[in-house]
Amino acid sequence: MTNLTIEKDASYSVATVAPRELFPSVVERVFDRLQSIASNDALYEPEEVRPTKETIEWARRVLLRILPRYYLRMAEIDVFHGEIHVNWEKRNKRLVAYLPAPGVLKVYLELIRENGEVGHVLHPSVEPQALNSLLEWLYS
Amino acid sequence: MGTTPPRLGDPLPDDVTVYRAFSTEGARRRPAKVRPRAYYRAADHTDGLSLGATPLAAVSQLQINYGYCSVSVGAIHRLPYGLRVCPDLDDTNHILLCNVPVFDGLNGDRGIAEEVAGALARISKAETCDYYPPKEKDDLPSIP
Repeated sequence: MTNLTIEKDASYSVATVAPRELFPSVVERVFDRLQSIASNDALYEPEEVRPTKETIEWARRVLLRILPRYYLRMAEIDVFHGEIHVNWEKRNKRLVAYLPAPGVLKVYLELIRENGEVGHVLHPSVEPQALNSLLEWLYS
Repeated sequence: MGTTPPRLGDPLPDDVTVYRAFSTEGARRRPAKVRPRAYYRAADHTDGLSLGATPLAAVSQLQINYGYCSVSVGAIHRLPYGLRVCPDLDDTNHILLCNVPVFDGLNGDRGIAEEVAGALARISKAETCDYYPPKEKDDLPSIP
């Protein structure tokens, strides 16, 4: 049996997540917007097709996998003809996650080089967990 | 956009400024930023994207708008995408932004369409993010 000793200056914190994970209002804002996205008339042109509830649920599941959560802080959720788009911009980089239908995730990455030249790559099929590493690139 | 293709004139000179209405809230971000969504071209926009010769002309075909932006014709023509800004010969206030790639549903030119939309957003200036023209405030009631 191991002796359990507590050092005099030991920390007694009960937090189980790093401080950077604590952005509840940011997370709430993103998911609130997603939840109401089909009923927000301001996002649509007349007669424009709206995302189905299945696509909205798919987007929710994809966004829930994003870690660390502070990546959601700069996420802008938008729609286009039934698709849900999640946009990030940071300095000379841009990332757009397209969620056109349940189970489908495409990712656009853009880099503006110092000479002003713009380069992009479109990943036509991305697993949700891979989004974290692409966001890591954006934030690097 | 219409059933009959518009008759287009030669590209406008580079020193002209044209205007693009924000047809959805997602086309701009407050306080004053144009987002690429303002320049997404849907497949049913067969002729190109509509611009106006004046701010009022830009918003005139919309029941509701979320403001508008201005953009220099020269800046558009200098982008490396072969875009052209041409007047509609049948409507002096209507201008078409031609050669914008269609933002296709699943395949097509989505990548280049997004890049072009981003470039157009960067050279555009959001003039207002509110309904245009501003609605007149109600007058205070007068005593009869």
